[in-house]
Amino acid sequence: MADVSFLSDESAACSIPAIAPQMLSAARFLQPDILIHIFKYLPIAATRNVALCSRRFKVLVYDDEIWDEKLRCLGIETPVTVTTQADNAKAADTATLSLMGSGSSLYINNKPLNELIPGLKLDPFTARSRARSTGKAREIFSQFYTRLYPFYVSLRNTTGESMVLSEYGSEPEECGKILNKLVGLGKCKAVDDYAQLNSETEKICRYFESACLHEFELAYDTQDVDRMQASIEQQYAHALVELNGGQSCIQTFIQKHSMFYDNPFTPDANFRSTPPNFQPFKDFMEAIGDELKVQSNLIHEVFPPKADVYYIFADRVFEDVIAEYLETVLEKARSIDLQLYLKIVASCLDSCLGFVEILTDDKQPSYLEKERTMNILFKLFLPLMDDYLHDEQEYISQACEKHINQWKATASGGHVNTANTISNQTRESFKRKYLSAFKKIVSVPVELVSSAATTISSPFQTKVVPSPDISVDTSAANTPTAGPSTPEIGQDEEKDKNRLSAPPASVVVEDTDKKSAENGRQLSSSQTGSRPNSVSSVKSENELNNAMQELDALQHLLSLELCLQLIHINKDAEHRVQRFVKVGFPGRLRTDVQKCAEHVFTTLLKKLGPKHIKTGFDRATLHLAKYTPQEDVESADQNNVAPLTEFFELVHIADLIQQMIEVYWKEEMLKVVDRHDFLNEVNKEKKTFERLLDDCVAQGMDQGIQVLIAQVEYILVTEQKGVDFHPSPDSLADLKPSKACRDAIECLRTHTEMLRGSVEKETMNIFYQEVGRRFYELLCKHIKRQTINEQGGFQIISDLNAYDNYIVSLRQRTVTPYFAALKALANIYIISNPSDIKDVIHDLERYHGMLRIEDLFEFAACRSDWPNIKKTVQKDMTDCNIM
Amino acid sequence: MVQLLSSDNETFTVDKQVAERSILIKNMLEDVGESDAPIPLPNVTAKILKKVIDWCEHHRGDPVSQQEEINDRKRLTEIDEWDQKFMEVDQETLFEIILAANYLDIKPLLDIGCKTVANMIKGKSPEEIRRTFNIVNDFTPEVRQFGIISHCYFLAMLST
Repeated sequence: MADVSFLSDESAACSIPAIAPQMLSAARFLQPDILIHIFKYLPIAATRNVALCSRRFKVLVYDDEIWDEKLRCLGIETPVTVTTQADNAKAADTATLSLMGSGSSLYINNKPLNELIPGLKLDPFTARSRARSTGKAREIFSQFYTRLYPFYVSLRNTTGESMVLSEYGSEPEECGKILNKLVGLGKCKAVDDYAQLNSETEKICRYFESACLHEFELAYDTQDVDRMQASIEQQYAHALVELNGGQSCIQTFIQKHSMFYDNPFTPDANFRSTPPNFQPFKDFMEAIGDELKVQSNLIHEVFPPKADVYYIFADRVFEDVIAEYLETVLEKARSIDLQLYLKIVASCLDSCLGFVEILTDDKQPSYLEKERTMNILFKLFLPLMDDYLHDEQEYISQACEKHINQWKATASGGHVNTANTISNQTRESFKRKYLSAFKKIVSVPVELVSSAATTISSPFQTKVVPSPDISVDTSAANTPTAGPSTPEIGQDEEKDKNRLSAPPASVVVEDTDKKSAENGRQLSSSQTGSRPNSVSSVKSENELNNAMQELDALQHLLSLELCLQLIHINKDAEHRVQRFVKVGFPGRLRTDVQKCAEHVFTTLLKKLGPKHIKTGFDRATLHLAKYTPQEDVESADQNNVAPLTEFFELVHIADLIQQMIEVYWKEEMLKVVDRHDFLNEVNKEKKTFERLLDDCVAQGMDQGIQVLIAQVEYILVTEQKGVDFHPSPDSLADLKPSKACRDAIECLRTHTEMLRGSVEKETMNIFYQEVGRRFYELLCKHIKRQTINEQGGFQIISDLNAYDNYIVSLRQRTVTPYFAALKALANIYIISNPSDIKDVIHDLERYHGMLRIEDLFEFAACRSDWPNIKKTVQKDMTDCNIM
Repeated sequence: MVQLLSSDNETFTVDKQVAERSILIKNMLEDVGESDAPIPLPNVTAKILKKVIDWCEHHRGDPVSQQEEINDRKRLTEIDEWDQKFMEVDQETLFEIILAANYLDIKPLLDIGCKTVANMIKGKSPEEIRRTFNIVNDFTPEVRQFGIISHCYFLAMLST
């Protein structure tokens, strides 16, 4: 306080409680901060005199702030500074921690909060109080100073060998240390003629460096010949590191490594053979891995750990050797085939992760921290990633479209195919089998599947296509219509033609399917022995094949095989991308990679949904709409409505596809996506896909019901003979349902059963109810058309009982009363007494309120003796109405 | 233009660019914005403020140097000629300029001032320093004795 009081009034200076009040002590005005600032500029020798001036000056001149700075010039972190700095850092940390309540400090416009307020010290802890000065810094400095000073001053004598070299010439490492310190001392400007001395120091350093480097190179060149040289090499390396970090020496060491100038691996080697095999690529990566291990040892021997040579070396290897190699390989691969390119990128990531493991292996003598190593890796991949991600998405959408179009080209035409339907029971089991096989395949690692089923050269051969010997087998053993495998496209077309002209009996197809299935099984068992590695994959694949072939009969509008193929391609891509996800790139790339992984999956759904499933359903619906029962008179089996069957099969396949997607989603996508994150693109797209399926089913279902009812009506109209309900009085009623009734029920049953298990319960219920209700209306119409006598009355009762039984079996509460009412109504046909008939008609309770009285009279009018009894029955009708 | 008001109520009108050599004024201007009211500087007299403004005028175009840079390179280099001339004032004024530079937060001027003082100290004996700066030797005789001994010890070391 007293220091600044003179500013208010100079004459008041005498009031300052100074020791010499009679004199104005100018130096006392200056605040300690400023004095220290001044003392910082003093040469070392002058500080002594200042310290001798007064107590105050002594304290100030011994202050840590002055000496810490000088020590920093020497490159020494004193314990004092270290602790204070650490304290500061820690205090600052805790301050921000407690202030912000979180690990990260608050940032505005990318600047720490404090920086925004100009003039404010970054934090209160960096403003050190004088009281903390310990004087230790000066002590430490004086130790170094007294030791270095003789060497430093001896440089004044430029003639003859300097004292440093004469004393430490035989110990390069020590010599390097001393020289390093002398340079630091020079920076402190300890003496007045520092400029000259510093240039001398520099000279001697340069001389020393070149000498050491020379020795080092000599030792390096001969290291193979004589192992003992390694120690010399080490000696000089240490010396150089001590002198100035040893950059020159490290550069020499690295540049001299054969990997950088004499690389035996050329990228072109990969493309010499066709199809390109990547053995050279693998060899290259392996060689680098080995070399890294060797260097780990060597560097440990030669360099001190603090020089961090291993990192520099690894960095150079990644930057120069691998990056260059990769660039050429990728460029070439990309020009040849997109998928090839994608695969190489992914496998390169794998090998590089292998390197990271080698580099960070702490069993090796020298190793790096994980984070820095990963940064090297990121540096390598950053320039590649944008292209890669883009290509991956491009590829998947291309592949999807290509396959769908390919399939369309082969499969178009085979639409009126009624023959090869399979019975309900078997279909269920096929589906189950198929799904379980699919599950296995999905969970098998992709490399195994692809290595077992495909080669790198034929990426588009699917994993599910039977291996050639199977298809040959089947085609040899069976009729040409049987082998449903994609490679034989020509044959497939032929098959379709065959189907068009003369649909083969379903029995035959089923038979052949089973045969081929057996073939597959045999093959799988024979392969289990020979290929123990890929047993599981081959086995599950074959299982899948079998199930596929059995199901193949169903898929002329939707192809399971196509879906499987697409899922496999997708899975490949997904696996590649997910590897990148796992690596955890920093910053923007992380989200990009994640997006890409999601995009790959959504592309599959987007393509599969509208392009494949929708078109399939549209076509089936179109077939349904076109269908009229009359056209199909010649068809042998009236109970089978072809388009309807087709449609129901379609629903099944669609269901299967959806389940496949579900399995795939669970297996693969849940690794990268949170299942409950309903805003996530993947989950949203999956929902959309499912909704699309439901919409398709619902749309077709409506048509389907109409067609079904039309068919039933057709059956009833054509098959119900007049005599069924109006037999001659003497004939005996057999009390069995009439043929028309049986056929109609059979028709209904087969078609309603078909859908079971493929759609959700609610949809099923709605479907059943709709069918029941419409069937009821149809039946009413049908009965009203008939003429019924008493004998026929029994017949109609048995028919109605049969209908009712069927409807009850559907378990739909809302429709059963209708048929119960019809059953009750049928009684009016077997009552002979007209007044009793009247009673029955008027007893509305019997019909559960389902029938109106007018309807009942209409039904009664069907009686053959209606004209005779009409009067009696209708007599009180008006009364009743009045009542 | 910015108006500055010294402690003895004298008003100086300077360019904004010149005034902003002082970090204190610069921050103040940033905080309060442009205004016609003069900025009061109660710690600086008109005489010193004039000197400081002179210096700022001369150095108006200097690049705003980074702190670290000063530490490393410029810190120990010599004072340039103009500044040397500028600092040829009596001690009283010199100290007041240093104080004003410190108060106004004009780092380069503070550095120059400190260097000038350091040059004055350099090569002087303790007694001479005391005389130059009007400092009273407040060491007790024993301590003084010890100081001299340690001084000798120091000299002895240097001569080896």
